Amino acid sequence: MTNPLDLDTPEPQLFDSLRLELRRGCLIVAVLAQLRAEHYGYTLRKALADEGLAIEESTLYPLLRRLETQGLLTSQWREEDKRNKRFYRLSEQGETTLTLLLAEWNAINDSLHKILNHPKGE
Amino acid sequence: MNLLERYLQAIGQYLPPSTRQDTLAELRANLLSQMDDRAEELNRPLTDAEVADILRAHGKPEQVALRYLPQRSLIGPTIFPFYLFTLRRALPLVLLIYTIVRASTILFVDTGNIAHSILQAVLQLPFTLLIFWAVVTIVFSVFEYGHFTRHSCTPEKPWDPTSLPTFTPTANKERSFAAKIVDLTLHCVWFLYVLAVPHNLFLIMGPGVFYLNSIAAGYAPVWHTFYTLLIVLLSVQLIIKIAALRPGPQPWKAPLEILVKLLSIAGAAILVHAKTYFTPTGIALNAHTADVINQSLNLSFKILLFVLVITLIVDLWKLIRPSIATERLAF
Repeated sequence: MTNPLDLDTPEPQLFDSLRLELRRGCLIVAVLAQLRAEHYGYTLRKALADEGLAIEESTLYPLLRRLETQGLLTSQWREEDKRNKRFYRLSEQGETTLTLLLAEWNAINDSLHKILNHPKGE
Repeated sequence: MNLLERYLQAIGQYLPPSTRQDTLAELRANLLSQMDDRAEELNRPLTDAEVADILRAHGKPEQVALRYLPQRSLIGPTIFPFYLFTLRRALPLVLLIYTIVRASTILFVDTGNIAHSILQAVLQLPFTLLIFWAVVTIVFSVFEYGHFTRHSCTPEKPWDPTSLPTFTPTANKERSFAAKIVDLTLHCVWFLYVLAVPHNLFLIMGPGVFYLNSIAAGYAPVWHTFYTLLIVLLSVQLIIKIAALRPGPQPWKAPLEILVKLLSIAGAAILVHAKTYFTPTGIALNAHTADVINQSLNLSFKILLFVLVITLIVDLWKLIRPSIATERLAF
């Protein structure tokens, strides 16, 4: 499969910027969805990467803090493998928000598919 | 692990004390897990270089810390449109006031070199605009701070779409070809008329030429310089009008018209600077009468210069305004 980044796009910076914008919202949904099961930062990042959604540490870890501040996640310090780690999990509010976001996501996805399946110019 | 501690210490410098320890402890745990995984892959402890690679990939300490800080803005999204609106609306007013004040100073107070005074006024304009921008920004920042700290929970007033102003389509139609031809023809006639002036001064001065001959007034050398500039100006305008016959967008037109305005200003500035336009060539014209004529003409040219500068500022504003609007849309 061709990596879109390998394409000789006329304005790679513009593409990067648009790609970043597109990913930003999706990443939040992905993180919330992944945290239906408990994770700490590093394992969450690995789990997302295993699913094909790699996120930089410097993006993910502060994002977790922000989502927790917004009440969408809860966290707990716990010892694992003789080391204290901060485990995150989706809060009740987070679950409700995730449901709403997924509904929105599906609606957008459906609309986009309909638009893309129209013959050109219609 | 000395390198890790040094890295965390560097990040900690930029973090607020209230969350510093907690954030660093979490980062430490995540980074140590990552290092453990890497060591497991390699089946040996990591070297300092490998630890450094992991930390390098994690990011510069100040950038990492910055991402943990709450996003701050001097003027938030609620107030920002009003801030931009105020800047856009007030800018022409500031330019107008500045021009009036500086032009009045140049015309009625300054006694020195007029070209120097104009140059000084133009050079000081960016500083004035900077002060204007700073004052507006400070006022809106204070307003934003007040708005933010009040935590006002009052619901927004409902707005009525029917109260919106009526739609007026913008007339951005291209001029017809016939109109362009008429414009070009008139310009050619005007150009030929100006070219004929040196051979027959009556064309430009009318019966005044007989009066000047009768009082034995001679023409000062400034008219030669002015005439040459006028021919250049008319030639540039002729090129613009011929090129404008071509249909389609003409992005070059506006900058060239600004050039024409600049040439006009240069011409007016030359006349203002000269101060002497007619000199006595015989005993019929005494020095006092020549002075009165010259001073009156000088005042007229100063007014002309003032009007041309204002026109240039307005045209420049029209030229840069679309790009400002585009940037605003990008927000």
